[in-house]
Amino acid sequence: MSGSIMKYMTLFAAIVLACFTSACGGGGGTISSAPAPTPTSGPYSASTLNGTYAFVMSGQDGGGFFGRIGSFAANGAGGITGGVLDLSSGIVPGVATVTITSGTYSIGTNGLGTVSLIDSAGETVGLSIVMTSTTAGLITETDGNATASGNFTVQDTTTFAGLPNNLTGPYVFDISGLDPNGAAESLVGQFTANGAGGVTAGVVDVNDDFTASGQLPVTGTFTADTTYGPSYGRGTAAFIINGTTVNFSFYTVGVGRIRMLRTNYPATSLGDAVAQTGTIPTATSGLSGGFVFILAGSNLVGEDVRAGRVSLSGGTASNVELDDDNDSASGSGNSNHSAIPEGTISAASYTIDPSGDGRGTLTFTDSSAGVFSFIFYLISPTQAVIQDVSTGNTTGPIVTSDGSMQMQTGNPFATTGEAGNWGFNWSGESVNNSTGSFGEEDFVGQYTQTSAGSISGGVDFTELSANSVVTGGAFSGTMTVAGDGTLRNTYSITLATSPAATLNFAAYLVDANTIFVVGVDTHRTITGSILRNY
Amino acid sequence: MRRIIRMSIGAACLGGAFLLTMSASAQQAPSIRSGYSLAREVNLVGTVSNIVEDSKTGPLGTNVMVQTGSGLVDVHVGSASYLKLNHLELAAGDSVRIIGENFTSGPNTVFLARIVQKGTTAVAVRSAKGMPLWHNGTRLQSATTTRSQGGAL
Repeated sequence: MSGSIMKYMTLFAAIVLACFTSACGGGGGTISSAPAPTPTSGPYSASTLNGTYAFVMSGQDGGGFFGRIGSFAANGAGGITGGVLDLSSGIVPGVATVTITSGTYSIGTNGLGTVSLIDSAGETVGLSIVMTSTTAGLITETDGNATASGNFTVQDTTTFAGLPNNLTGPYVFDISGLDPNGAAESLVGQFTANGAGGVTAGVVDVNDDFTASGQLPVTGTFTADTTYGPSYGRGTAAFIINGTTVNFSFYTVGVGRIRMLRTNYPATSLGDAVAQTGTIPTATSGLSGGFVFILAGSNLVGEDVRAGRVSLSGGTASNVELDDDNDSASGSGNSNHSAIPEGTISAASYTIDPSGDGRGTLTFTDSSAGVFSFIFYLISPTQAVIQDVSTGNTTGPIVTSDGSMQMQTGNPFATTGEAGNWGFNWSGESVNNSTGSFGEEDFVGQYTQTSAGSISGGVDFTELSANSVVTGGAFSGTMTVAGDGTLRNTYSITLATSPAATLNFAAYLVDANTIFVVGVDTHRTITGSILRNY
Repeated sequence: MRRIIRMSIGAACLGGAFLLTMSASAQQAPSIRSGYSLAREVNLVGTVSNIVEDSKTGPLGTNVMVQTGSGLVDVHVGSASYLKLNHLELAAGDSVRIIGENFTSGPNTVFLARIVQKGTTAVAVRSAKGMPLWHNGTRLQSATTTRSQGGAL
């Protein structure tokens, strides 16, 4: 491993943002920004981050797509005292397990802050974060060496000693990234952990390289890591999917959730497995109400992101709306946005697997855009992971993507009801208007919305297309709830940068505390979530 | 099939043989929602006119305008940085061979490249199913496995 670390160090300097300003304070590269207002209220401070946290993030470094998961310990006073991470990167290349030796962090009263992780190779990973609760937050990498988005959540350290035997019962998982050939892959499924390190009775749907597998069997094993397991909840897993072994490293959040990184380099996929809770329906009568979903992956022209909503009742789907960003089948510019319905909706239905594994399907046909099809696995009667297998105007999938689906609650919504304090993380790709350069961008920020819908806040972001990192930038915007808010709403922010930039979104309200957004601009493909943070 | 293709294809391959291939815009192109089909693939041979990363007509990403015997073709190659990472840099005046398929993109027509070749260097930018590969960066260069495409875990 030392050889890998050496190579990692050597190559790390040669990556993404070549001529980057060193401080990153208030801007770097070709973008500068007016500073965000100093937060005057909020419940957060350095003492908020006190414990051991499992994180997951992915993005682009100098080797292409990369995934990083791990665990860090924060001391409640601005210090990172230890940790470990697994990195799958084309820079190394391979998957390296690296000790986090030290670091620092800061958190403002509004929850915006930074985390610096220093590893045993002497490398520093610089992250911007926003706390979305006292136990969890969102991440964007803003050190200029790479860009990435992700999240972190506090770990229940009392469960570490019991690994892997305390993993028991049914779990739903969603793993996505790149397969060994470099094609996008999505794996969603359900397995039963037998309480003895074994995976039994599992099933998975794979959409790999625009090819839907149908339901495949899964067995496997979990093994605790004797080095990093006791302190950071690390382990390894091997899933045998229809005869093929897929390996992972994992970090436990607690017995109800583990975070996984595929380690069959050059494949790099990552995600979570979450314990199923509640009574999982076995018929369509057991699943009804409004549901909002968000998806990210690839289509024929590049990154493709979608968000939408649907009403479910007795096997029939209705009130379908969906926004597809980077659907180049419409519009006259690049990264075209499509608002579905584009034509008329028909054959809108859903199914539930009678076996009780939580698998279901959702399908509808738009007379213009073709067939939209999804597979979901219920984590609970109100929450699921969802995979896109839409076939459009052909017979096989034209997208490989996945994401989350949640029941829509708390409606009717109103602009005034969205007032308050919110944190967000958005990820996508953009073309820079000035340079014409194309690349990934990731945002993390926090804002206050008034009852009239006005938004004001601070944001940190990395934009490869502009070769820039901005930290502590200001922005303003507007949230407009349409009608009862259950369908498509509009959301727009303008960065106080030079040059200025406005990002326009379609927004779907999940509940009083959660919004899914998808971009509608022609030079940007972007999606993400917005969470009330106090 | 390895995604990063480093074929030793003689310069002659860029010559007359491929001039027999059809014009990229000569046929009615399907919608991008129709998916990629190897059966509809064509070879495009021509000279790079210019490179446009902020294309107003093609999909998001790098578009290369290629002058062919049948006219100027807008070719979406995904990401210039991906080609560069894989040792293929395009510039105006370069002779290129591009394998791909023609699609309608809104009211426009765009040629989606699967393999881009300049001289003896060829880089796969999409899979045989049309899946974009440019997010890989350099990660496939060290890969030793050879796998079939489509649904391969």
